[in-house]
Amino acid sequence: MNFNSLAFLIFLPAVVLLYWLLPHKFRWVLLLAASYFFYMSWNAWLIVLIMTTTVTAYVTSILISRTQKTALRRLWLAVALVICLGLLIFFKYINFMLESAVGVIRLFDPAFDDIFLNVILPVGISFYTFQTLSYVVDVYRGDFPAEKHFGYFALYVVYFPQLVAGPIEKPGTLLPQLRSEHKLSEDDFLAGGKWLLSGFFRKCVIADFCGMFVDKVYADLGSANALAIFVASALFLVQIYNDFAGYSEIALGSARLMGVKLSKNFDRPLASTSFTQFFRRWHITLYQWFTQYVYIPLGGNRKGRARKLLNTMIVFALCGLWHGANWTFVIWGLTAGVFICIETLIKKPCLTLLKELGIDPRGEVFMLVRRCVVLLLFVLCCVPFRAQNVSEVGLAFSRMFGVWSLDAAYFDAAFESLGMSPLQLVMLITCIAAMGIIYRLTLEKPPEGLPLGEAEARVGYSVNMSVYIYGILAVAFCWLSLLSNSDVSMFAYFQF
Amino acid sequence: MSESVIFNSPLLIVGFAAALALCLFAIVKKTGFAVTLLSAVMFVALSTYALLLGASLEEVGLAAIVFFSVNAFAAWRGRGNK
Repeated sequence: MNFNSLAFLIFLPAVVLLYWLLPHKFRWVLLLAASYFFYMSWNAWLIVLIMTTTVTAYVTSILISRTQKTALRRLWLAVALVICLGLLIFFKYINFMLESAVGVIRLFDPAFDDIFLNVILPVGISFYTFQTLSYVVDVYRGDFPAEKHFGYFALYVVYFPQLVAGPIEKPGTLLPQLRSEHKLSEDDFLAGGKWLLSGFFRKCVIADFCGMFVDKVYADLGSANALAIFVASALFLVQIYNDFAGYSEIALGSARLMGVKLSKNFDRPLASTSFTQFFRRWHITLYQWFTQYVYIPLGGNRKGRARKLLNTMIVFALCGLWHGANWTFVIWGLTAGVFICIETLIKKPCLTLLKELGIDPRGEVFMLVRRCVVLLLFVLCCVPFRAQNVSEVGLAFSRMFGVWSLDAAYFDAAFESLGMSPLQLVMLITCIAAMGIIYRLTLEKPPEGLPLGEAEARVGYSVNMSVYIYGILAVAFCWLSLLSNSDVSMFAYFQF
Repeated sequence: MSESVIFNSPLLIVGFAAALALCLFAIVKKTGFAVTLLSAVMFVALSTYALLLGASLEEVGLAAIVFFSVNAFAAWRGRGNK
């Protein structure tokens, strides 16, 4: 059941209605049943995997909390890590590892046959595994008490708004909210409605629209010119951002309608002025997870500059691999890691140079230049992220750094590869302009610190209603337009 | 844009312009819901007419995005943002 499907448009209101009709003590049962139903709508058998992860984490965390012996606590932590990560590695990476091993063997024996296991990739396995692991590690560290109620713990693992593509919630953020009794509130409904509208707008209007052009170019890289590939890669950045931010916002909105505040996953990453800032604003919960559970335990920045750079590269290589079982994702992660390391190394010399040249590093023009450079380099990073295999990455880069021209025929050829009509170009520009407005729509804190309901009252009922009317119409028209061309498009991050 | 149905029909151009003008009037003058509703009804009627004339869903969607953006921006400013 995709968020952008008719089934979800029936499922969500039904769950929200029942949630508010039921007394507090039965709400967790409803949410747990709804979450399992939601997950089983993809493949009923996958429930066995998520149950295994849930039971393992529940039992080991209880055992960890009951003993003070370090060796035993470590043993139960290791059991949880081996089982949960083992399932993730087997179902997500086994064919990738076999394929890589076969590639190495073929260097010595070219006739060696392919080995392939018929394993399906469970939806959202990376997300719920990481969320569960953060719980077990927090219990082990003593940062969070083990949850005794199996129902609430199972709900923490499978809570349907954020089950298949995050945000990856820490136990301290989500579990207390699931336990506490929520009251119907105008603020929650207003904020939830806006998150939902913004999320659907991002996904159905912006992401899917950009995706049409990206798919056309990447389906036939050999015949596209440099401009077409560059524009397609830039549009892919817009697509993947709006696709994932859209999903996260629908998750935030769905949870908020039931009084639960999930963590924000994106904060205008495309306006970042540095790579470090970009990753602090892009998929925030994953970045925090890697920082807390990998980067800091590796030594973080406490063991000298060389170790800091090495730790950064390890984290980004793992981050790339987390996104998918393909060398293209490793290349993407390493490229991003290299950019961050270079940034760390040149930061001080650059500041000194700017000071000597009398340029204000906080000046608007300089900030704009930095934004453009960061965006440009991230467009290049998008190539391995979008490509299907390493040879496609090579082909895309070789053509992108090939012939550029100002000739009219060259531009016509680029538009032909993108399959973009003049009307679609106008729509694309409007969509990109709407991105900035969409962000503002979901800002929850009015400037004078007014309660949300009061700030909305200042806007006026008619303007608020117009936002919903035209937002829903725009989503509906664009969604129907895409439906008439193809099936409902999946969220890109589901594959991770 | 030769392929556009809206831009090739004077009635649709005038109609959408009038709906947008009404929408802006409702925002600026902070009128009651009646004017906004009238604008929205006009928009839906014109969109239906454009679709019957052969406009693509994309083209009508584009018009809705413009109306949505104007209102969303007004709502943001109305909350006291500058």
